[in-house]
Amino acid sequence: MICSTSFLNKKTWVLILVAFWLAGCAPRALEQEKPEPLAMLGLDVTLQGPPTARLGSLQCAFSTSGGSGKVTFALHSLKAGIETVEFSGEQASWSWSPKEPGSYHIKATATDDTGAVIDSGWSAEYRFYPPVDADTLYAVLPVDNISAAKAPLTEIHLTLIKALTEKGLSILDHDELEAFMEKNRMRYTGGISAEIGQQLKDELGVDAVFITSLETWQEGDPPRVSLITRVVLTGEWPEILWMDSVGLTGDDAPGLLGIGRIKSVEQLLAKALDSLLRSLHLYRTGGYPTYRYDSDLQEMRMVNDAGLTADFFGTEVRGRHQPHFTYRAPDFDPAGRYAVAVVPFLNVDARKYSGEVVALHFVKQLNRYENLRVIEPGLVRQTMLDYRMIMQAGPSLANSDILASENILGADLVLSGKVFDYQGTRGISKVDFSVQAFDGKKREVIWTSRSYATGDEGVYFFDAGSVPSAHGLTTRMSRAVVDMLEE
Amino acid sequence: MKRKTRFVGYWLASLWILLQTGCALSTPPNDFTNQTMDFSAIQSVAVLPFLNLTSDDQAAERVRDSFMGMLLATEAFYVLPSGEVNRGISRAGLRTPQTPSAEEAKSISTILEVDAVITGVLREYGTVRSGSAEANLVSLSLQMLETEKGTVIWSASSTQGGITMGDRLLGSGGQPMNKVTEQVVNDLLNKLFE
Repeated sequence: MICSTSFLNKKTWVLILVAFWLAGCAPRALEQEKPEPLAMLGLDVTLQGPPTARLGSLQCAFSTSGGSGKVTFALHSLKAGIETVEFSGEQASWSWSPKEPGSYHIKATATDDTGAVIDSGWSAEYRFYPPVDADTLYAVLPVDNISAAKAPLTEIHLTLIKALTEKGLSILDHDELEAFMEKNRMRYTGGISAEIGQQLKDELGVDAVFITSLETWQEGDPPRVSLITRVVLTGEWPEILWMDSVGLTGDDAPGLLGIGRIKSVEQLLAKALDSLLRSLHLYRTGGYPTYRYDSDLQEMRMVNDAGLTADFFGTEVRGRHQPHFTYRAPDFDPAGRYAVAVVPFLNVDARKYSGEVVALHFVKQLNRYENLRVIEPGLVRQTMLDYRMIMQAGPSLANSDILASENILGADLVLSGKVFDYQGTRGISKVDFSVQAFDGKKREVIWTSRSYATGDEGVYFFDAGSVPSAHGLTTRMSRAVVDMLEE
Repeated sequence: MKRKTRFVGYWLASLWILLQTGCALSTPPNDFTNQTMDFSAIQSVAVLPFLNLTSDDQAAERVRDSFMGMLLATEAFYVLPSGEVNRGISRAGLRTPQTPSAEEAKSISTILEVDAVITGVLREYGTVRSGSAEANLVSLSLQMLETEKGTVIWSASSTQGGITMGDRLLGSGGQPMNKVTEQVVNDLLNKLFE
């Protein structure tokens, strides 16, 4: 007994025992810290709302196990063979609503701190239809005249209604619309505010509105017609569904001995409306061309490139229509998802309403990018009126703050500019403008460019390659700017 | 024969000296850069409206817009947007923002939180004619003021365009006004960053 007690009292033996015990524990503790490999347990996708673009959404929830440290997720969508990242972050569930109609597949990826990446594999196909169908009731607003010339607006309005009715669209009765406009003191027809959008939906049951701006109207020789038309979804938050424009002159295709010349402005208007309605049909059947960011190639790629719009979107923009100088902030991510507010351009020395015309061209071009949600110009205008925003030299940071505020418009980007020249009714067409874009959140300029061109630049033989209308020039020049901003 | 060769040599040497002297006299001495100023400390600038000495009312705004865009495109400075500059002018109560005093320059730079202020004078913007030839001409001078004391730290001017020998011989109308404006701005930017 004494022997064993003395044995235990020996400090050396006790220390040895403790050391053995710790040595035995250590490997086991290390084994417990080693994480399990990252694994995707599942991706649950549920359709909420109708299967229509903008109105319906997919609720996506991912579950993973294991992984080292922080796990980040990304939601990918696949449409027409183009894969793009819709969201990324630590959140494990997302609600995603596609902007454009089409067939989509969804996939989730998870990445842990060690860089291990796993994915859920592509989901089944989810088909999203355009928010307008055969049962949609449209209201056709009277034509907004921004041509700075007298024009038979009622005749143009009625011709448009007739053309739409012939195509099988349900149009709200003209008298009913007039009574609504009178009752609600609605004078401005170049856009709709949130209030008017809601009232149109609630009081008249209108699902979408046609908003048409007359850019050019000339009855002389040669006649000229330019129209910018858009379809806006009514409701609490009006959204632009489709937008296109057309600019025609009687001299566009004179042909041999001038046989192809058009001398009647009515004939030209009919041709213009026909182009617009063909473009609208493309949208309604899901074939309207749009740009989608390809995450693999890291560039914008066109979806439905076979579809021809009224303004020939998709044709090559020539060097002479590119901006003469540009600046893009180095940290600007063109693939990001942005809400864009386009403010009417400042008219420095050009013809009346040219600031509105150029702004509408930018709305049209930006609306063709799937990662951009362009705020309806009527909403922007109403906000500017509500906050009494007077911009004598373009928007200030204070103006941009209002437009960017989450409680007001929530615009991530505010696009504005100045128009120095806009000539398209006589002689050679000429357009000169500068563009500026703010990042609303960072309060910084992220884009500046200056574009100017004339319709006869680079033309040497028989008017080949000339652009006779200011509309044609602005379309090309605005597209070149947006291409560079988003490239 | 040998004497004749030496004679020609003297003449050529005299002509060379005359030519060099002529060139030296034609160099414009009107650009200024404060050598003690550390330009790398300037991160942001405000370009005030230019003083317009031409008959075209909007010419100064056209040239200013080009200058602001091209300066921003160099990525050397952050150039405040014109709407924000206008807000600063209103808040500072500048009556003649084209020609600010040192105090006014300090005041506006404090409001706008910029490191320097640029002012400009558009001296020519239009068409010049000589006989049957005509061409566009732009002449601009700029000044950069630092914001602590409101003193001028850089000043330069440039004139571009005008009638060239080619215009006289071929009768062309010169380059478009926007192109000439770009040349002037480029020339001034080269002087600023040289």
